[in-house]
Amino acid sequence: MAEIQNILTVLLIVTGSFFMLVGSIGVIRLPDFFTRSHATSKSDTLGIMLIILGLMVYEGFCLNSLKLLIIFVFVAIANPVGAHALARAALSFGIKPWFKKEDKKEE
Amino acid sequence: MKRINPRNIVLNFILMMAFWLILSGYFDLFHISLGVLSVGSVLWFNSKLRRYVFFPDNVLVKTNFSVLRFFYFIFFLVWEIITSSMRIAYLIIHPQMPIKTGLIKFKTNLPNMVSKVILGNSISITPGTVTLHIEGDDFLVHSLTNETDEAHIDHSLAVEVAKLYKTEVERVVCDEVIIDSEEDL
Repeated sequence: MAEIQNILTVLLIVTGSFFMLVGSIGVIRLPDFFTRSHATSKSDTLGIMLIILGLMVYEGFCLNSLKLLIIFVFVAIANPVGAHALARAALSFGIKPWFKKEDKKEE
Repeated sequence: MKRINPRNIVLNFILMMAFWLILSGYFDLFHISLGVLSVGSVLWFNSKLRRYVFFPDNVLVKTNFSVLRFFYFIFFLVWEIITSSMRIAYLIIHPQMPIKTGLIKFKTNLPNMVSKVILGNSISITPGTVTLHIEGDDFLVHSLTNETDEAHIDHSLAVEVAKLYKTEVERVVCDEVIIDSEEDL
């Protein structure tokens, strides 16, 4: 039983770290503010959720995993709100979104 | 100003008390009575805030919000997050990075303010799309891929949100415009 728990924990945390890594790579590779805000907030949603889920599996059912569940819910609610606030502020500040140029040359 | 529903206060008290108990971890009389004291004072401090009307339709709406449907919606959303996360991860790791950004503008006929907030947050939490602006019934969404299937995702999300409040749903999303060049902005 404990081994299954450990294996599941490792799997969840490794996939979570993978999505966090993808988010960090995206911040470097993507072209402008809006697309970068996708990378930071979105890949992290699944990354953080998987990591917290892995920690919950590791703890088993006790008070600590309930605390982790509360963190999980707060992240799930606060993450999109923060992303929306940042993107909306950028739009009203006058930052123009980036669009792909190659398509127009082909047409 | 509106009247306070006593059921809401009791529900709020139970929720905050559960929060206190989980965070403190002590279940003796002293700590629980401290918790009751602080939860009560928070409720008292917030009593004016509860009576404040934030949205004009906050009072009038007779909500038939179905909780069962909401659980289904959460599972639907989690599935949506997982699949689109993998797609976005593929797009970012791909050497050529085949993204096609675009702004999607659409109109909805959702019944009230809360459902619009739920839809906006659901769109934002799904990887690849961010809600930029909500004004009245108009949504402005920034998307990493402006292919047809992405628009389809927004459709199904909106339909699920509408189903939280109504059993019979007609067209939820209409007047869809995709802006994908600087001239159209």
